[in-house]
Amino acid sequence: MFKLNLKMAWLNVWRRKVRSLLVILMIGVSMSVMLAIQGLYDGMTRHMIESTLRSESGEISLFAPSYRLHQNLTYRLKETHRIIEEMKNMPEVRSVVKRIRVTGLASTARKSTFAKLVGIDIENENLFGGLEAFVVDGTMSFGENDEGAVIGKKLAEDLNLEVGERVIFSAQDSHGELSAISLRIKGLVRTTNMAIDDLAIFVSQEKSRAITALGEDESTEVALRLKEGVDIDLFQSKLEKGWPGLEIYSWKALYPALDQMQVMTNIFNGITFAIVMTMVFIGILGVMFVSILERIREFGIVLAIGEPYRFLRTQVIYEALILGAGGYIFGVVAGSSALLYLQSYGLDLSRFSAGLAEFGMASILYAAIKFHYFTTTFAAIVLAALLSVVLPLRRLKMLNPIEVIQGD
Amino acid sequence: MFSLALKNLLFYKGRTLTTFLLSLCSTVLFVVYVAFMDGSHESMLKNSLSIYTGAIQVMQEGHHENPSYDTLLEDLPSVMQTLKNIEGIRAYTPRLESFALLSSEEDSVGAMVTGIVPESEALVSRLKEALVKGRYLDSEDSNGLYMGEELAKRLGVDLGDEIALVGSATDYSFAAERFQIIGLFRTGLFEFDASSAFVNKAYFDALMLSETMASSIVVTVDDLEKAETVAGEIAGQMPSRVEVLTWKKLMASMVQAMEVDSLFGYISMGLFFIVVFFVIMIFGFINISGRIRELGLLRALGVHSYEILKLLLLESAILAFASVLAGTLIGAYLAYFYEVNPIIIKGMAETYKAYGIISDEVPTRFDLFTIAWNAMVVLLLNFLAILYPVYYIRQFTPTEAMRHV
Amino acid sequence: MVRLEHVHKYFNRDTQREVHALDDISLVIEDGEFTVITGTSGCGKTTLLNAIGALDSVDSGRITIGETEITQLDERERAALRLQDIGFVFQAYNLIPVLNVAENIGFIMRLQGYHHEAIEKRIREVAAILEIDHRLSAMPNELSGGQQQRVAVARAVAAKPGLVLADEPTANLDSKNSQRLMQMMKNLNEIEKTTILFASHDDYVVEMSRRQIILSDGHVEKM
Repeated sequence: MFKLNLKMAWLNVWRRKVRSLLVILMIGVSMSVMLAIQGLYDGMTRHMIESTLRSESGEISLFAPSYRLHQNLTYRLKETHRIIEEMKNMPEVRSVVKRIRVTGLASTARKSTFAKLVGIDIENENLFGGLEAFVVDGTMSFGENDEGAVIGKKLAEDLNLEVGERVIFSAQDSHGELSAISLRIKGLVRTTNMAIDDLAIFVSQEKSRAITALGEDESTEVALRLKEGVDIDLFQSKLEKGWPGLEIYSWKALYPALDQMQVMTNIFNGITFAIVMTMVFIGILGVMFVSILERIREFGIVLAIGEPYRFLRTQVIYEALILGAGGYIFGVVAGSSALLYLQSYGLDLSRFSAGLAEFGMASILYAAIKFHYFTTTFAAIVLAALLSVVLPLRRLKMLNPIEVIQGD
Repeated sequence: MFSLALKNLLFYKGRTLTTFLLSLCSTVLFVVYVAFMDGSHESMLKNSLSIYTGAIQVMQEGHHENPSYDTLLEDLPSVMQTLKNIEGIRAYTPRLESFALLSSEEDSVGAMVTGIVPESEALVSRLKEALVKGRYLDSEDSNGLYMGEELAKRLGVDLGDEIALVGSATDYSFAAERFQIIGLFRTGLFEFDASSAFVNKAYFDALMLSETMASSIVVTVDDLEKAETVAGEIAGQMPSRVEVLTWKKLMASMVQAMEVDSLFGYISMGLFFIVVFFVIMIFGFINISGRIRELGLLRALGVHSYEILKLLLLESAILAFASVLAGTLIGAYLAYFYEVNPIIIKGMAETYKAYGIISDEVPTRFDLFTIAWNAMVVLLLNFLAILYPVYYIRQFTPTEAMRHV
Repeated sequence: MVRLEHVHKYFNRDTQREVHALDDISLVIEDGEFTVITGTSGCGKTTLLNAIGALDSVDSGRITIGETEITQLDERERAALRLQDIGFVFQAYNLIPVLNVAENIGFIMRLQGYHHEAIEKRIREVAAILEIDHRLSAMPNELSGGQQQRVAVARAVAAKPGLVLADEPTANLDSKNSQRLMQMMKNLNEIEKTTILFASHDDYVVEMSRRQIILSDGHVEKM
């Protein structure tokens, strides 16, 4: 019975080839373009967030009280070793780094600019966020005698500096004394995190201690990467209970704009999705309605010869589903090829690279592919197909077979 | 023919209504969307321009790409003299920018310290209006410093406190001086407020050995649209190694950022248009293919197929023009309304301060040209959508069409 | 006068399903005739009528209406000829659904560019003969089948064409309505001297006609 239904539905869909193909084309094309846009936007936002998380804040950052407000060495973490050891032992934590960050002046013989010196441990940073992967020129190293520095690409451009040249960094140490060090540039990094690209001078922990006069067990911040699937908010409140003496921030609190951007991307994609699916609904509705109206005599006849109404109903639903499914399959094929292309080759917007940098964005955008794109779209198309037959079916139900056959 | 087209539209209500509404909504959406996009961009640009950058800057060749003491304007008086006689200029003022380390007892921060001429600066930028505490500079000031509020916060200083400046003079000799904070300002441009301080240029010149020099001369014009023309005029009268840049160049990365933003906007609208196009086409197709027999009858009766084509196009045209016109009127009204009464998103400026957004207001831009081309796009879309259905119907001969079921 | 000389038409030519629809047809129909082309289903009645009406082309032979050899015309000229010189009545779906009765009757005249008042006058005239003058403002879907066919006839004769072609006009009507329609058409033929050519196998139509042309498998069996 159902097999016969399906076969009849299939044959009926192809009775009006052009029309059915148009609907399938419509669903497929709009779905694939929609997926590509969603993927691109998600990829873009994810990339921005990822690069900030990897190069700076992790999911969670720990500071001494008042440090965030004043960004001053007076408010430093004292027992860094103990904090790090205990964090490392927490099951949720994947990786921990400590850093010493100090604001000061970076100068060459010709120019000076505002910069931030960051004392790091290369090995730990690589485990933490793969910092080395952001190097665009030179290498991620501080040289044999720790005199080297790796600096932000944009900072280097501002100061007209290249790998191998020297830069002077001067800042006030924790006692309020002005001190300066000369550093040789070993590498340049570009993370698309503006705080790093525009300002950062990475040096070894030892070097940063030397200029800040901080002790062995002191630092300005500890950042944590959490394991996949850990609830950040939950973990944050757990930490807050366990460490009342620390200020604990999630990345969302540190970078409200990034969080906002993610929210906006989701809202935007949601609206796009809703609009496209509404149109799909209208499209299928139009075709189903007309297809039923023009066969109303035919339906009258089959009802008259005793075919139950529900048989017809099933057949009509199948027809709508075939249209939806056809479009979906086309959309999956075209959409995933577009996404795969955009994931591996990206959308090259180098023409706008300065503008993209203004937003802290890379000039080649890569798409993200999320499995739920395909599942939610499928659900929505099925829903649209089912909804679209409600009205036409109601029309069919009111049909009096005798009238239909005699009329005309 | 026209009345037959109209009657057909009234008769086939489903298609008419769907197409009309879709086309109307698309027009409204498109016009309003673009108006918001352009409006927010324009207000961002205008804000930044009027806060500090100005419409035109005059500087030594190469200074914009590579600002350093090597590329200062050296013959300031004669350049200033030339500017006096050019039409379309509203005001102008010289600035001498120098990067220096400011140290308080608590902290040291690198900052851009700029020597300005207080009176003419007030005509060119919003520095004077941005005052939040203390007072603005005047031409008698000596070591008074007018400082961004965020910068003062970073230094942990307040009005009346002393600050040490360490930097280099224009001949690269060591320059150091103590300044007293006489005023704090807040423009809203976070980065600017966190890294800028201003001094009376007359006094600053003595310290920096820059009496007849300037980094740039900032010019404002009567009409921003004519900035290019005025810039050309200025350039014509300047010595050869002097460059005249308009805001388009000065704000290149911001302009480009907006282009990117617009690009994304248009991509999204493009998706929307693809879907609308298909729906209009499908409804047009359903309508026309349902009328094959009727159109075949017309042809059998002796109406030429060319006339049928005209009839079908006329139907679409009536639909398209009516819906786009209505949509444009509604869209234009909204664009106008929200230009006068901008939407306010509380907290937006705070969230996006790092991106140079200084206002919670999101105004639209009411621009007839933009609205006109937006409307044209939707019109075009309507016509493209009918092409295939019309082509489809033309395949039938009258006798085939009459027999069509 | 309509003259056919050695007219041939094939369907699906040069395929296995080739049908010789019109096989060497030669005949003359004089002005003012009231004639039926009859024969069994599939004998080529409608094909012949369509060929005479310049709706369809033929593969060889000549068809002339008055002085015009229609087999020489291109599509545009054929459309103009149909509009100016021929009235059509089809089996069903004759009327333009969006126009009311009066507008349907006046449609051809309007296309021909007649003056508004002349059209109004003529509509009333033919509507009276066909007894539909009380339904002039009704829409086609409000009419009975018999009324619809009478409106179609009214439209066909309104512009006083030299030739009216009616393809199975009574096929969807009951006998009472068929009789009424035929009587009215005969009246028209007599009053207005309209040449009317039917294609039909309805006995009543055949009886009422003054001349019968019998087709069989595409050729004329009896004139």
